[in-house]
Amino acid sequence: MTRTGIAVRLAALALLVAAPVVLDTYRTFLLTEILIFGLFAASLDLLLGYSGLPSLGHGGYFGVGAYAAGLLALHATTNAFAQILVATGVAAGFAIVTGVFAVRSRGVYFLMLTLAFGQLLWVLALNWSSLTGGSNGIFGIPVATLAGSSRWLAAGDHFYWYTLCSFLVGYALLKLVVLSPFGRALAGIRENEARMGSLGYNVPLYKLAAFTIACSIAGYAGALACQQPKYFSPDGMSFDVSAVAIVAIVIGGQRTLIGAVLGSAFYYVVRDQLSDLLSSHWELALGLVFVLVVYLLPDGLVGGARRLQRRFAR
Amino acid sequence: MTAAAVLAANFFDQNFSSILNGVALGMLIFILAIGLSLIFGLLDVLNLAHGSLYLLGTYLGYSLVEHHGVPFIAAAAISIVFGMGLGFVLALAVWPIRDRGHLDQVLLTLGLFFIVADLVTIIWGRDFHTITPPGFLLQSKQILGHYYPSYRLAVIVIGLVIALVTYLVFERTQLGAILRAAVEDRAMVGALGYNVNAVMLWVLLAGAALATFAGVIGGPIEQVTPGVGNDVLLLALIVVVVGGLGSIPGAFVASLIIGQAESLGVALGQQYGLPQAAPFALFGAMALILIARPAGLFGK
Amino acid sequence: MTPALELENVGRRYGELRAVDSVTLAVEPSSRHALIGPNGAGKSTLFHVISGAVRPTSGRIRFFGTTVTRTSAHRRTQLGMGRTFQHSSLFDGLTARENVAIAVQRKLGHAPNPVLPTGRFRDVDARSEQLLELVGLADFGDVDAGSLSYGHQRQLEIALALATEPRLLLLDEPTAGMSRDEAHRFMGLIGSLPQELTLMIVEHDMDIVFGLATVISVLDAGRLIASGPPEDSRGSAAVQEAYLGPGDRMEQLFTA
Repeated sequence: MTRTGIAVRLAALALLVAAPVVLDTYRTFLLTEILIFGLFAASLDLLLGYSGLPSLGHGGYFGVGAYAAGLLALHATTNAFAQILVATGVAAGFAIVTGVFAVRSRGVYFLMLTLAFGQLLWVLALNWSSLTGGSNGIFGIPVATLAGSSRWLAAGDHFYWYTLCSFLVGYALLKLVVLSPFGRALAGIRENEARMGSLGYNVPLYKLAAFTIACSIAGYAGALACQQPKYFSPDGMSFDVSAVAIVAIVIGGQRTLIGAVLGSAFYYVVRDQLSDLLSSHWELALGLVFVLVVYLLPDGLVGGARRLQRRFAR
Repeated sequence: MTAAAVLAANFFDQNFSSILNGVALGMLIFILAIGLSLIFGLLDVLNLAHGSLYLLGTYLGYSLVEHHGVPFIAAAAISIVFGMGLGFVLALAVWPIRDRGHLDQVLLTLGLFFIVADLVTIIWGRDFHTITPPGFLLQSKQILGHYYPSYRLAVIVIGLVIALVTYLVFERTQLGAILRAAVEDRAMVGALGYNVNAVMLWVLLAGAALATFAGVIGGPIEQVTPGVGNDVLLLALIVVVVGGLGSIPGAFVASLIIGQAESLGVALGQQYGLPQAAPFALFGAMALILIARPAGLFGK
Repeated sequence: MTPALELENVGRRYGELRAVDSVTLAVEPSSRHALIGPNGAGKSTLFHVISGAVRPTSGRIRFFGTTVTRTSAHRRTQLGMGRTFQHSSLFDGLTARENVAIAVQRKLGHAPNPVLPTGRFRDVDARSEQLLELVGLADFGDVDAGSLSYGHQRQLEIALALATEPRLLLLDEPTAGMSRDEAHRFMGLIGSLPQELTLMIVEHDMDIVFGLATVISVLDAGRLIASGPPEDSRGSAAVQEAYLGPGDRMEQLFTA
């Protein structure tokens, strides 16, 4: 990594840490949401960008994690770490059970099968009222605690810093995977799946492992998504959630991890501004934004930034 | 008669309307799915704007028939021409990104989908509307001891006719042979001297025309509302994938299955108080089929 | 000595078409076993059946004594079967070095590791470098596989196959599309491979075949019509007929 690279990263980190001090409550809240969704989208990039597995049902595992964390808080413990751990584990379980079937399909078939699984999980959340509260969702969740029964996380700024740390841990895990030999194997599967088989790789097993890791991190993000508003409903795991994650990745730049986060920030901010400015017609503007991004930024924001960087370097 | 046959006959009797509705819906979706399947099989483009084509068709039909007094059949004919025009616009929009991955296409066509959906609400508002079918199809006919709306029967017939024509074109004409070959290996067909770009453009135009036509004839059955594009697009996508990409026979069988899943799902859901029975039946059916046949019913 | 490969009545049908028809043959360890025959004879299909890409519809396959008829392709590679492909099958978007590293890291057991960065694995880097040098691509390690010249891509194919440390190497038309010189140099590389490695090669160029092979098997219309030392094929009427058609076609060629 170059010195400029390190400097940029440190500056970004400093800004993120200082954010609540500079921004108002609403914007801090928005930034918290961006970090949570950004982690969720980055976990999808592991599947979509790095492994060549376009999942359209990722929101399902996000929701599974959220409900697991919320239900644990309501019935067992408010400990934040326990909730995250359980959420990640439960999401992993669902991922393995569905992944065993999903990885046998390729391309568009994989896309649609994961869509089906995601939608079925959503239907499950909507209908299993005794457990999930049905369309009303689960609410009245006690605030997550860090140690003992301290309500330190009740304050928005505190929760933001907790989210930032959680985000960094989750993001670091994804980064490690991507840079590891396992990550290299995923690149091989993406580039030429058939060849991997003839090189001795048990490809379905590797795909299942990637799927499980990605969905677990989605569940991890889901736990945070429930801890923040202390509420979660089936809306939070609807098809829209999965679709927006894909949009965020494409806008930010596939196969970069950070692109997913930047794309999420872009989407949240633009939607926020547009719905203020245009109230009921923000969809029209959003559609225009998508179209423009596709035509003008072929490699997403990150690609565009890299090209600018090269221009200035000359 | 065995007990199972008696049960089946009973079930058919009690749910007669829903079952036939499922067939009509299936035929409607099939007409949409032909274009979607070919566009994907041939052009390798995942065209989410297909829902917009249906949407524009249905609002065009509504506008012509309900506001301008144009006869229904004339409106349907106009929609075909209109559809080809829209197909051309779509071709222009997609051409610059034809070599980029599916995700870029998804983003573009999704963006177009949002734009069109919002333009529709600007022009026509968000209310629910419907299109009145032609006069001679307004009554109900008696079938197998039940009364059933003639218009829906007409839609079933139209769907079957289109299926038959498509089958004949595909299996018996040279154009059909070229199309089937191009789905298998586009480059090869080009190397044989055929103008593959022209073929692809015509497929896009024909697919778009079928979609807007479906929008008009679907108007009396489905709602004329900004959200209908979403609903039919999802059904068409499911049908195309479940049937196997690029396979018209697959799309036909899948439409019948999916049409039933949706229709019976809604009906039985209402009967037993389970509002999500329809999506459950739909996605459950899709999941089961893709688990058993990971490349669709007739896929490779 | 256990044969490296034994095919017993191996067949592969596609409906009525018998792409491979009841082939029985044994490949001895350390041999250079060539598989020849006219186009459409089923040579590539036979390779697919041997490597496990395609299941035979009849017959049995044994690899160094172990039955592998129903074993998956990736498991066969783990047992020691390596292969190259008729059309280069590489990881186009990755550098040549990365291509080899993917193959090497699995052999060295590091592939499942999801937490340590790839830079930490010196053994993988060293072995990858070694293989690139062996096939003559030491200077091209950082070039994307998709950007390599055709000849270099074929060389990279060999590196990938060798990285799996095969006991039997299946070479599917390795010199296809190469010029005389390129093919010559390439065969120099093949010739320098260790003697313990058993080679089975599908090839059309007869000079190469007769220059390298210790055994020649001839396939025609899916059937094995001859198998033995090179001299046998040279003089065989059956082989001539397979390539040139029945009877006095050869005379017609020369007297017309």
